[in-house]
Amino acid sequence: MNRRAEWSPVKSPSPFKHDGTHRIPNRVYSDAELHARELEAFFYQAHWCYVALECEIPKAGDYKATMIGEKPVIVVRDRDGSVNVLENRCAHKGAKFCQKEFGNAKVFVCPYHQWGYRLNGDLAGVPMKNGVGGQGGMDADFKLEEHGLSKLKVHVHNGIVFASFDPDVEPFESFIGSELMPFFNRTFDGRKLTLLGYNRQRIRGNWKLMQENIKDPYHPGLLHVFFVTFGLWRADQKSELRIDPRGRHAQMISTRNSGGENQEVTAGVSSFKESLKLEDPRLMDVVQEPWWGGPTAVMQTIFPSVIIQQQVNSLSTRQIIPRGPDEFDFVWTHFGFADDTPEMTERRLKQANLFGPAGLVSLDDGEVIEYCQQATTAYPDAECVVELGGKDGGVATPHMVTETLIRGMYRYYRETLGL
Amino acid sequence: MNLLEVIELNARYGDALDRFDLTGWQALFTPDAVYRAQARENFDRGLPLAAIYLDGHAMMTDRITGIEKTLVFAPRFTRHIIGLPSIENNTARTPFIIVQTVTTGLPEILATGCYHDTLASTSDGIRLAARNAVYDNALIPNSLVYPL
Repeated sequence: MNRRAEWSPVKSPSPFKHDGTHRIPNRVYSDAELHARELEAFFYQAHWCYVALECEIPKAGDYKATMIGEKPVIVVRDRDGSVNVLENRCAHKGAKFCQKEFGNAKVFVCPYHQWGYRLNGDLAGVPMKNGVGGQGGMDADFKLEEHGLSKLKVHVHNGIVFASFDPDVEPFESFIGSELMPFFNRTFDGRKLTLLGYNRQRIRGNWKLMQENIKDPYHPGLLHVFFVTFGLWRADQKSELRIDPRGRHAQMISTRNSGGENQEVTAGVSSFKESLKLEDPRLMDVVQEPWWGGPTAVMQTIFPSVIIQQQVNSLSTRQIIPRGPDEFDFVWTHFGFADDTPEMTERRLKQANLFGPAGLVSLDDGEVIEYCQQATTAYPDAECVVELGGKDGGVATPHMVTETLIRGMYRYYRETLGL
Repeated sequence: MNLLEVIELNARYGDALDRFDLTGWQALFTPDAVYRAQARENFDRGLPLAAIYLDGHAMMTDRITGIEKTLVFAPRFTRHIIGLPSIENNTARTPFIIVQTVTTGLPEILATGCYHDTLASTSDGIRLAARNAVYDNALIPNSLVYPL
């Protein structure tokens, strides 16, 4: 697998004009060369990327076609119960042979010339390999075992599946890191998950803006009027930000309604509309679940490919699939637990009104990401100011009045890309 | 159900949404009606998640308040093009295309799909007792602000 030298060796100078990451050059959101380098360094090398939940492919032969970065892959349950992740690229002519999103297969057959692959990617057979009537065929030195589908490294962690094109990727536990693993395992602790369904959006913005959005506890109380009005989020609620030492992943951990009556939080906020009240409280019928152990919301950014959401009773993974520098697909997979009561499932489905393309607190995010893309692209030499909470390069904090997690991500970005 | 009555209901439905008359939209449902906007991939596979799931008039009111008073989105127009219903007893399936024009941009197709309806006769005429707007396009171009 040629995985080390796919971007151009000609590199432009760094767009960063200062030390540190409290200023972000607008160019990082629209530059095609930087984008190619990001794909290679973050999605194709040295990182574990999210591909599936195990409950999406419960039975042998069940498969899911998805993407890592801009490359199509297949996630398939093998006959021995293990999960394989294969390039969705026929070894013969390079066709993306699997066109269905989900299905069940005994073997994968490319429709073009019917090369057939086992569920582990091994090439099982090639039509006319030995010729027809003594004519043609492959040379005698053609070996099936040299022409299988490329296989990715796979890690299944308590029901969630990550994969990497990089055979030398670090172990998954050290990738997530000891700081973040406790809250990662809080959702994925080995309980069987159930699949509730999907929401998909195409957002005309750079993929990093989505990571930044969930590393930004500055905006929810200001942009998401619905959140504030109905008591789901206050800047003074009990909260904590965690970040891994390299700055790439983070967790925003908060406990609802524990802030008290702090006038400072709502006084100057023009978006606060105190008088609004839900006509139907079932929309936000929050029931404390034992596994929460306190926090009512834990939002995790696992760099580069996924956001893991627990927002009260609503659980989802949000996969980021870049499409060039100015666009990405955002795929929400909502889930619950196998031991949920029907009432809990119903609650998760009703609270899903807050999320996805029509989400009462997430629709705004997709909109403002597009606003950011529109003007940062138009003014590539300007820069963003990310100085709430200081100019540090990303540190854990016991409050949410900071943009430190974004600074952490760009510290990692500069270090990794050598910018 | 009478074909013309169902066509008229759908005409009023699209007209109300395209004029942003969300209260008028709500009035076309019975008080305890369920409205969903659901991706076809979920519908076909029996997965229960919907992008919008409103159970009764009160929850519809909350969605309307959310749209009109809390959500941030670029101004847009929508145009519902609703086809002819295929009616069986008190149920109907009706194809739709919804075109959206965001601010000064070009029009784009927001969704195309089929309404799966349960209809009820009331003293005010027929009303929707349940509507699932099942959209074929799994991908939504960014935001789904108004109901489909």
